[in-house]
Amino acid sequence: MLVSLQNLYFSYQHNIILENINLDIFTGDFLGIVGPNGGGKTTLLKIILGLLKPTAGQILIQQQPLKKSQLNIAYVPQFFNFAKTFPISVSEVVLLARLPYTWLRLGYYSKQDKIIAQQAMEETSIASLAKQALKHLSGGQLQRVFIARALACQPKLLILDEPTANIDFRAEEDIFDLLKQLNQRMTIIVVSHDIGFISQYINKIACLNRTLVYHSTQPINDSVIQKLYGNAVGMIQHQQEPPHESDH
Amino acid sequence: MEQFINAVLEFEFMQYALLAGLLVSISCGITGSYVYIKRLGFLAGGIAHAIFAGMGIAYYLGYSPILGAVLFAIFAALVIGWIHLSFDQQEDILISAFWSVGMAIGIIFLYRTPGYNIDLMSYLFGNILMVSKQDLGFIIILNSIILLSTLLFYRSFLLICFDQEFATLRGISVRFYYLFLLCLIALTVVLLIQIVGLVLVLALLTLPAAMAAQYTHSLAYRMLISVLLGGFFTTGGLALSYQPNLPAGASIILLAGLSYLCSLLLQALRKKWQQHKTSATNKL
Repeated sequence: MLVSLQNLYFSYQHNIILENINLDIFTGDFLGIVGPNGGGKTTLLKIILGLLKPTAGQILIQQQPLKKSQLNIAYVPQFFNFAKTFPISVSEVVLLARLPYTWLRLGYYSKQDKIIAQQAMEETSIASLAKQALKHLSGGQLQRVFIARALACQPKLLILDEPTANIDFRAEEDIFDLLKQLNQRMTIIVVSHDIGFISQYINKIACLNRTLVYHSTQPINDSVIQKLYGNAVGMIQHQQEPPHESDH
Repeated sequence: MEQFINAVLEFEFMQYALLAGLLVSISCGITGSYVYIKRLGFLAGGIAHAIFAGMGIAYYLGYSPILGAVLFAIFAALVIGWIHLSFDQQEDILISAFWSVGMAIGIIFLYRTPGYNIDLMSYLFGNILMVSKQDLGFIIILNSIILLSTLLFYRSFLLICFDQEFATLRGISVRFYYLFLLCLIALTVVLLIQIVGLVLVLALLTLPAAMAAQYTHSLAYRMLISVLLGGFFTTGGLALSYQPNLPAGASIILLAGLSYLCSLLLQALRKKWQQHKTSATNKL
């Protein structure tokens, strides 16, 4: 077992965001966390990452408390909090992931760091953009840069928050194909609101709306969604037929 | 101009002034680039004015005002950094208060110092022509500290400026590097006070970096260009002020301001020209 959340609660200014979460994540999982906006998905990720402290309950990483954990976790956030004009190139962004390992080298990265960064950029097909300034990139390219940065951390666990929120459908498929490939060597947790689309890629699902509504390895169906959203929603199943009208 | 060159060749104080201007440009270009990308102008202004308290107290106690400035610069950087990191809501109010209270403390201590002091104006508006050999040594030491720190921690500073959340996740202390960076900026302000005075510091700290930003998307190149521009402004301002006997600090700032304005206009014209060209080719 890689990550175990036990009776986890989180509240913020008297609002309960997460309630009694019990979730186990195993090595090799490709877990999709779905749920409505404001359901606490990002909060849950941030707790696993150690960016937020749970109000109650505990989180174990490889059977150890979060603080003592040596697990290499990488994160691709939903929103990129930087100024559009920040003077930095694609390769610089990716190389910064190597920083903790080459903390006190005068100015330069080691040869190995450069190789790792190069591999990460090739895997995400952005090697040709290496010298580009970040502000010249499209949404899809930017997303790949931040996935490359996460890969350059050489993580055992990769966490992505709505990785395809700002890009078109074609690029969305490309990114999930890439994630599927990466899943062969690392555990992946991905947050999405598009339950139908991700269901063809993931092997486990957790439906979150303040508390875990559903958590299983079984394929998801209409009754799950109904439970989750409170009313029947048309489900888009990309893998079987062309998408039809949905009424949400 | 000829007179200025003759003066530099002839007078030691002119050589010191020229050298001081060029040396200070190094720190100014480096930390100014951080001030520009992190939009720390207001924080730097707060530090600059709060330093006046340190100078006043040192003067009153009979120590070198610059010693007081260095100590108080570090103190001010830490306090203002702590305000920034801890009080999101009232940050501007707290820094404004620190800014003015610092000035007030400085003025009161200077006022209580026996014998009226003529130095007040030179702290406020700088006097590059008064730079002594000793001052030059001091400038070299501070410059080395700033240069060496940036060389060692360039990437850590880059990361905390670019993405604090990612830095935290990678186990890099945002708090430590942020305060460290503010201290370097504060030391640069102390250097600049000797050249243009604390009231005029901000322009020299930000304008070279702002101009460099119009031409390159690499932080390291921006620093290089800022250093060269800073050297040009201090030397040029000094040269322009010599013959008409104008205050050197104000001339330096004026030159920097005018250059920035020209650069902005050039950029705007270039953009228009490019739009014109693309719309012309589209018509064909």
